[in-house]
Amino acid sequence: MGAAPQQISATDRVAEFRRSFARAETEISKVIVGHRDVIRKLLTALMAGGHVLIEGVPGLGKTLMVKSAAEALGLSFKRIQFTPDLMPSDIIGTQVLTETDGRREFSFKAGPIFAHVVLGDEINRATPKTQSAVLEAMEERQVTVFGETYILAPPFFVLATQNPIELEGTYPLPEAQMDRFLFKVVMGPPKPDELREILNRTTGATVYQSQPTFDPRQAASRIEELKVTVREVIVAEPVERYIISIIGAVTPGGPGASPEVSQYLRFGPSPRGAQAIILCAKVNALLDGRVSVGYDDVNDATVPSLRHRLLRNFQAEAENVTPEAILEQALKRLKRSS
Amino acid sequence: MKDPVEIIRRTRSRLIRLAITEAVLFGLLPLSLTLAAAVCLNSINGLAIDHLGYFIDPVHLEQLRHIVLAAAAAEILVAAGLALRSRVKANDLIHTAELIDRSVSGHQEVVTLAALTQPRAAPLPSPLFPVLRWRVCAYLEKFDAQREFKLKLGESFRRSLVFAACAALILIAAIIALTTVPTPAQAVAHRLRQLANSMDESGTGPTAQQLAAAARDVARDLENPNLPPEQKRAELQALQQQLDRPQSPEASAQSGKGTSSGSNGNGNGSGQGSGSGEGSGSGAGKSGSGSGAGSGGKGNQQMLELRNDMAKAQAQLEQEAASGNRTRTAQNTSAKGSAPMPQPGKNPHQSSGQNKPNGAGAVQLPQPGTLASNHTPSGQNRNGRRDDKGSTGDTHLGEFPKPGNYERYYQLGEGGAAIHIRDARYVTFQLPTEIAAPGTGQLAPDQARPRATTPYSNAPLKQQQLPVSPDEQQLVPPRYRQLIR
Repeated sequence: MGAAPQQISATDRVAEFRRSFARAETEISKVIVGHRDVIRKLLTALMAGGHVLIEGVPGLGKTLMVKSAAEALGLSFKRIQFTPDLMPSDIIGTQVLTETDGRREFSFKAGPIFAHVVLGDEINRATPKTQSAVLEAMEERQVTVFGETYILAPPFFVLATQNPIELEGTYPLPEAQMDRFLFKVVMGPPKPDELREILNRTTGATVYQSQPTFDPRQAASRIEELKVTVREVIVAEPVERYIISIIGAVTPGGPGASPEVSQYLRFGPSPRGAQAIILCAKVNALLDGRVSVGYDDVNDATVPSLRHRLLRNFQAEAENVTPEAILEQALKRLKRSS
Repeated sequence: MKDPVEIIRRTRSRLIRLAITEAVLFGLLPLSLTLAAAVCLNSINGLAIDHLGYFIDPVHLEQLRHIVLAAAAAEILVAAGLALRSRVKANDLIHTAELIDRSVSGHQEVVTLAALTQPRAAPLPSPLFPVLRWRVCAYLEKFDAQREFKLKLGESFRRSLVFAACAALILIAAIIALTTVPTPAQAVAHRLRQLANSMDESGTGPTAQQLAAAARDVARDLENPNLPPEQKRAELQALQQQLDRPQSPEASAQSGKGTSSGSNGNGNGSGQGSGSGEGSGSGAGKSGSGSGAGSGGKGNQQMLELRNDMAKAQAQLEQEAASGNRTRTAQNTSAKGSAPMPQPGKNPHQSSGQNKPNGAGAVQLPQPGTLASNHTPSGQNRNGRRDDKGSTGDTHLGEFPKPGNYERYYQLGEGGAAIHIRDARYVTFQLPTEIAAPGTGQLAPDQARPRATTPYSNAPLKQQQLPVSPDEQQLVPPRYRQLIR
């Protein structure tokens, strides 16, 4: 059957999204062995306009993954190694006195945050003051230095990492700050065959490098177009109600919350959690070739979107009840699927 | 390309119709069962009397009918409520879209399209909406609502069956709880109604119709607890005389040609232990073996059974009347005399018959008109053996079983099977006093033969209740007078 021109355009946009996403995944996978779900989550968060918190032990390839993602997307990349003595001006930039043509004047020297893709390594090692500078930039997409506001060029994508084993001398991110990350992704150790492949690649003569999916001169605008397509995905009212019921089910004292939720959680997710679920579910729907969100899309998006937003109490920590277990149980009780 | 929204709407209409139909089917079977039970309660009662010997008295029967009808009305309301609720639930476009989504594996795309058509949806559609509509059209291209959503007859029937089974169990439990063993009067009332119905159905002449109406009236009076037993007995006797009278051929064809030996209750089985036994004739139920079905066919059989029941009823009514008289007499005499009322079992001459096993020296006094050799000490038979098989009248429990009535009516020249009555101490029989007029087959009084005024019996005669003061009773030696009031 024939289709209207507008329909072709919309269909092409969906096809273009799927094609670009798949190609970026492929390019990143040329460098990174395994971790396909992590790669997918990174790209999903990028397309959804959010930021990601990556948790994993050192040496898993977090920095390489983010760098490869930036290269695959044709975006600029900057890395910030957080240390306890790092100052906010080291991140966002500062005014420096320069001399030009015999004239001295202050000029703004941009910090490493002025990039499309920013990797903040071990963010929990920086002081809260420095952390807040980064988090403010994440939320506002702009920085203010000496009263002047500088817009961060879109797309602006922050990937922060946390080392879960070296806690001495660190400043763990408060839960209110962690709420600003769209996802929290946990990177585990590679499987034996993946480790073998890693060794072959990293100790051999061949250099693996990802190719940019987009022309670097157009990458930013193309990605912004793809993000607009994500936002245009339709969410029906029954699906919205389902998402709201999930939020209520994991909020202590909320409608539909089980006794275990009240027993093990101090606080539930904020509305940002529902926003994260919807955005992630939209990307999932587009990747499936659909322009409307289904229950399965929501189910896949729930755990990475909410796992870092549930504040456990002491009893949950003592009994080793993980947020993932609570979320899985809540989804099972609600029992919705396509 | 079909309009997907229109397809969803048509599917919704179909689901509404299916929901209403299934709700109606759910209530159909139990409602049918309940209404059938309400209509057939009388028949059920009749079958229970005829085959099992149990019945529900009319008052309870009517109450049960009202309850069953109320239950039927409740079932109608329940079915209507279910149908309404099903309709409201099925009248949801989103719900219909979800069902379609599930059947076509649409990942909620059909639901999304249906939701966007709702009035409260966002006014500005997404630029991607055409893609959604195009995809939903592709899903619904091969969708057939009639194939996907069918009337679940089996499931509706199963659910209805469960409901009907519960209703049937409750009804059966109620019937069992209300059934009782009918008294002879109630059994007679039932048979009289049957007789009246058969007379009406046969379309006989006015005589038979009058007889049928009379039978119904007597049946109604027999079941009326407010009427005295004497009146009931008189009505029953009058009706029996009417039945025994030579009637029109049609009525005779219905009533049969049984003999009428005047089976009043006077000499048959009342009194002290007469005529009772372990045979199948005691209490309610058919008369024992050898019932005279004769050559009259089913009508004759019914008449014979009717007469049997009428005789039992008369015996029962006479007992009731007698116990009522004794109560009144005892109350009167206790008001007159100064001695306390003798207790049952102490006075072997008490006609209530509640003889206790006698101690040493308690001997049955001889009565006028009987052979002394017939009198044996109570509790013993003539051979000196104790016979306690429930029929001697002097059981160790002091009980006196009710006398059984083994009446048989034989036509002239007809022979019947032997009557086997086990362990009966006393037997009373009465020879017929009518003979068949030659050539006609009808009964006529035998004027040449002396009429027996007293049935032949080896039972001791009942003590006459003389309307005189105890002091004037001369049959009893003075030394026993203190025992008699």
